[in-house]
Amino acid sequence: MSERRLTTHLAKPAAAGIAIVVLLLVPLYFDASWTIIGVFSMGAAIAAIGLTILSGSAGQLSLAHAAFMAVGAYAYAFFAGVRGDEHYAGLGLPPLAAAVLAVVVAGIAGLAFSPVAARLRGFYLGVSTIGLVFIAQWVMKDAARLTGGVNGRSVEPLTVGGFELSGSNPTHQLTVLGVPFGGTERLWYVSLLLLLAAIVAAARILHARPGRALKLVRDNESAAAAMGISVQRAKATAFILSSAFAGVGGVLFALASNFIGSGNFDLLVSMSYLAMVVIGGLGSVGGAVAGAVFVMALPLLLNKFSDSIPFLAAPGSNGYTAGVVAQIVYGVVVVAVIIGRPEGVASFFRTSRRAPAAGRLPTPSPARQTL
Amino acid sequence: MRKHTLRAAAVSVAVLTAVSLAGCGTRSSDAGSGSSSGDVKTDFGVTDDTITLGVMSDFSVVYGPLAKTVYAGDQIWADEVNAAGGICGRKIKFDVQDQKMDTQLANTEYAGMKNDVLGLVHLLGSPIISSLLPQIKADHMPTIAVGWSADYLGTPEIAVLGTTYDLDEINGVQHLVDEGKIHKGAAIGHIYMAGDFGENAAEGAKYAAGKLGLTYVGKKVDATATDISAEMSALKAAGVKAILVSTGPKQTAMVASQAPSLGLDVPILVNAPSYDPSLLQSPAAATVLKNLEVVTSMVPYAGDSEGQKKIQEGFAKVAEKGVNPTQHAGYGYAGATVLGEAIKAACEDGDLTRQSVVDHLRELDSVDTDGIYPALDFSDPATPSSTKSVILKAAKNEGGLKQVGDYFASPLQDGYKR
Repeated sequence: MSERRLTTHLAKPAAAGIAIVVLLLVPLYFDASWTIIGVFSMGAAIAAIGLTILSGSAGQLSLAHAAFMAVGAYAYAFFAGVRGDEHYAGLGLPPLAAAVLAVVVAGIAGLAFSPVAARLRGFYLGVSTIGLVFIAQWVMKDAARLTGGVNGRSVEPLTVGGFELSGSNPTHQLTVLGVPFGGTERLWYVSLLLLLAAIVAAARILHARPGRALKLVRDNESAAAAMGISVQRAKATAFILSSAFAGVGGVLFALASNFIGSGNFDLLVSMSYLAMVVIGGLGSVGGAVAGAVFVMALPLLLNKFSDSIPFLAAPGSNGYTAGVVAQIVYGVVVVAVIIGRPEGVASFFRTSRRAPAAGRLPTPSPARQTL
Repeated sequence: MRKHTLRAAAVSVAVLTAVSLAGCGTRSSDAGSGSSSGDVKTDFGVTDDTITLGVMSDFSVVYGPLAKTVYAGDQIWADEVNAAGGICGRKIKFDVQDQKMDTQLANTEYAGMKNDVLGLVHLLGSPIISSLLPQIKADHMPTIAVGWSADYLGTPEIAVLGTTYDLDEINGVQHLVDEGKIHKGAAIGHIYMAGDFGENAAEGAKYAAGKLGLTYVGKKVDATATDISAEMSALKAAGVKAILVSTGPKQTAMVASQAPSLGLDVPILVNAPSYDPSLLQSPAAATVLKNLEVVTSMVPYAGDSEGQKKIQEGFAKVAEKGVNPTQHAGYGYAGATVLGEAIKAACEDGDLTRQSVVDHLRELDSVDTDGIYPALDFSDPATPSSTKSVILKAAKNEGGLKQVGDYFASPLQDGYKR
């Protein structure tokens, strides 16, 4: 093995190892105002991985991602909800079981939509998924016992064997290396674990037979059918996988904000997920994660930092306040990234491989793939 | 084989480096708990010379204009208190955040400010309050909620100023009957918006109508509804003799402009958030001036009580150009006054911790807000701090409302249970 091969082989696991360790240490050095941004971003990243499987690898445009996230979030709230509560319906299941069930329900919701998906492609599918968002919005507003109606409903914290992994129960105190670990810090580790699992699972699916089948279906349905791939089944699989990932993202969102309402899962949210996978690079798992962190964390971070910028108008006045400037900067950055890197953030990490090592084929650029 | 060993080695070196780095100085135990500054015990948001209070509102999306006038009221109070030397010898400072009605943003901002503020003097928005509720309880964060929803009651940390929407409606329907504007057996219509405000108001209106022998015709509309002609036609068909409105000002304008064309020349009774002075510049102005009344527990902007005068004098100083004064400046002023009273009491007790401020807030059983509200009683977290209402009439003055009559409470409230 040559020196160069050796270093390139070592670079990836070492980088991943360092990244994981750094992420593990974050709550020790940064307080909840940072970690909560991380929790929201990691939840979004898991959901975005789902969308990149569907829209990037399987080529199915979906604007219903927020609706599937809502299914996961509300299903968790319902399964874990207190039984016999006067306002909301609940089954009172252990939260961990409720979370798993919620993801299963989200997957089933994806399966239920797959007959439609199997008959439509591209923009036509995209438009029909908008319908799903409207149906979901209507259900969220009208099934008041289940969803809390327009007001929304509160969410039980995640517990495992009586130990709270989220929420803010002051009687559950935990201190690690002198740092108090509250609900946000604990949820950080839950999110990190789930994100790693999601990345590994997605990478394994996409690089193995099912992933190759999805890509072939995307590129040429007839060729795929001729190869013996069941096109309908491949498309249904993509929808189930994607909505199950969305379900995990939805549950994490519900846990992080302790409360869910219909406004958290509207069409705008679906659009921002589409933005995440496009910014990250369609079809790339790492890109989806980067895109999600970018889209989710940037406005929150800008909002956080903009407080310390002196020349802005004070909040509550009519001028360019910190919040307004944060939105403008965010918009400009999104446009700049799309223009500068049409293949997404993922391409930043690919440049070093411009001259591919012997025996490796260059991967086709995802942006040029049609939906 | 060799490759795997090297990989493992690379990872373990990385881990070891990072862990050894971790050994040196984590952010172990933030300052705060149990320290004392000067002569009093403190935990968060209090230094030797300042007390910092949080403002978390929606200045830009749904309630922008309203929130700005409420915040103007907060500032008028702070200026007054600081000019008089502050509370406990400390000046009042605000940490202001715009949460844009986004629960995600609100959670981030709350996490960012919670170690720097003693309490929240202005927290607006039902979804935001619901989302932060577990943390507010856990942090014992004294909080003034902006709004009159009965859903906010029941938490010691959260104070709601004045009469809740349901009790306002009971008083309001009683007023219509007492004034002879509607008689037993008649129908009364109610346009209310989905969500806690409208639904809470509907509970009270329905109860009062039942007790007073009126037929209640309630129509729920979406908060963003731009067409309510179907609902108005239904009210016309039911032959209503009065219309209650518990929506945003936009829908109030629709009710007022459609009522005359349907031949419904009847009293229109609205809640405080349903009214905005800009209605008097709309095509519905004539109907608004003739038929519209507001039922609320807060006096209008125009008036000559001590609190009203202070707000009128201070408003121009703190508000941006283009922000017109409304009644809601009173909410900010009175809300800050209530929290201020609790902080003063806690200071006299030598304990300026959050828990102590919450405890003292709940000992206030008769707060005087310089005439903005009737005396407020916060001793029971589960009951509203007031049960009285006052009737305001649309008028062409600053704030667009004038007070007619005195505070009153309907005897029907005794039998009312949510």
